[in-house]
Amino acid sequence: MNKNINETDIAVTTRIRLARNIKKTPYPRKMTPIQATELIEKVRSAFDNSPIKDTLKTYEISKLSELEKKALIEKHLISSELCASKVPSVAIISNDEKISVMVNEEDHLRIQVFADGLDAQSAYDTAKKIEKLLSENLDFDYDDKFGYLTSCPTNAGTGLRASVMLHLPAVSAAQQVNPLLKWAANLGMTVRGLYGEGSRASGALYQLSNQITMGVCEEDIINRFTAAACSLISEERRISAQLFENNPYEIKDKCLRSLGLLKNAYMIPSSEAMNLVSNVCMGANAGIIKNIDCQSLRKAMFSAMPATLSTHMEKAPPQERDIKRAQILQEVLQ
Amino acid sequence: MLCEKCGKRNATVLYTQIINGKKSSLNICSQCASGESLFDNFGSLLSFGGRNESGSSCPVCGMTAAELARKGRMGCGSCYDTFRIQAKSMLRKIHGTSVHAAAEEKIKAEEIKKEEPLKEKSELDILKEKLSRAIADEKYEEAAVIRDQIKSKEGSHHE
Ligand SMILES: [Zn+2]
Ligand SMILES: [Zn+2]
Repeated sequence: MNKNINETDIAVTTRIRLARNIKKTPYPRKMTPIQATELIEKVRSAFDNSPIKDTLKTYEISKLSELEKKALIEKHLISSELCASKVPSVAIISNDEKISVMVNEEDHLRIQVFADGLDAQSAYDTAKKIEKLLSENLDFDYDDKFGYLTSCPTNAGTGLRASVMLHLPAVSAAQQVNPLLKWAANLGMTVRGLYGEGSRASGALYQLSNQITMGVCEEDIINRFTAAACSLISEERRISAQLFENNPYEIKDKCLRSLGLLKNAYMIPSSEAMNLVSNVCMGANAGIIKNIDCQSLRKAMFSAMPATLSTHMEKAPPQERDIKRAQILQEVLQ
Repeated sequence: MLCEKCGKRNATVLYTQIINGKKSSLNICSQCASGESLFDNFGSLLSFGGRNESGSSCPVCGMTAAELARKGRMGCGSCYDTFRIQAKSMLRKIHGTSVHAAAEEKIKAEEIKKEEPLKEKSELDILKEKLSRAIADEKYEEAAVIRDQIKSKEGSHHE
């Protein structure tokens, strides 16, 4: 199997997460503030002695404003669980935002690594390197039979969760999401809409992740996960081709209309931006819209999400955010 | 014989569990054995085999069995030891197994080693071991078949 599959036309980002805990120490929900602070110090000193030290920044959650927290959550760099921690908690994040180590979330450590497109293997390799680096200062809890122990048994064994954000506009338009949920469950995977409620996720963005973390070795989890993602991607391509064949005029109109709005609208609210970008990328993948770099367009869209945008323009009214968002997106389209 | 769990239907499956080295068996019907009603909640599991777990609390974090059943989360790594039966049942429900892949290989290797002296054992003993393994893995249909085989073997001995 090709280890580095990218497929950036449909796969947006891959995330690998390793959950680890320290021996003989209660999990964050049961630990004392002193134990929590000691752990943070150990993690920080492990990184301070490492070659990647200068690329990392520590965010003490208690010192962040609500907006700063929201922006980090929006970028999936931290979780709301980390912000809700009753004991001191930190996130150590790399400057390129590809690595985020959460300390005192649900587990003592959540090592997260992100990669563009579909690339679980290289993200996993990086996560293992960070784990190894930390293991020099910390004694990870491992049971001979159960493997790595975690607060929630859903993560025990390998503690490994791989996920990929997929853009599935055709699958979603053809109402093929529910059969996919069943298909994924049979493979020990889950699919869920990332934004918005109900079966139709706004922006047609879905997340595939492995559900089973025990009884399967890390390599097999990565391989099976990658294979499942590849099948979803080819399913999207198949249904997309079908849609364009069956209603060529309507779909072409929808894609071009969205491009027109995206290029010319003065104000674009975030949920509309997601849907317009989704339609434009679908058109670009089908070859109807030329000279559009979907990857950059999506990156611009994520950088213009409400909280992330607000950190750059304090206390601006929502209308001004929508104007700014339109400008950011139009810059990419020029 | 009537099912020792529901007391309504005929018992067709022998359910065996080993707790602190003590083996305890229960004759249950296939319906009770089909899983859901046996493990429908942790409470029933506790009243079933893990009586010794239900009263204890974790020495490191103070977690109790009731709290674990309510929250579904461990308080620390030692909880996995304190509530081993409960942990196994939770893990099996979630992952279909309670054995980490790396450990699985080790256990298989140990089993191969053990199997050599086993040859002297009677066919009946081997079947009985298979049965308890099938039940431990919650493979109840397979267990019922093995149980029938044991019954017919035992029957032929007595004749
Ligand atoms: Zn019964
Ligand atoms: Zn505990």
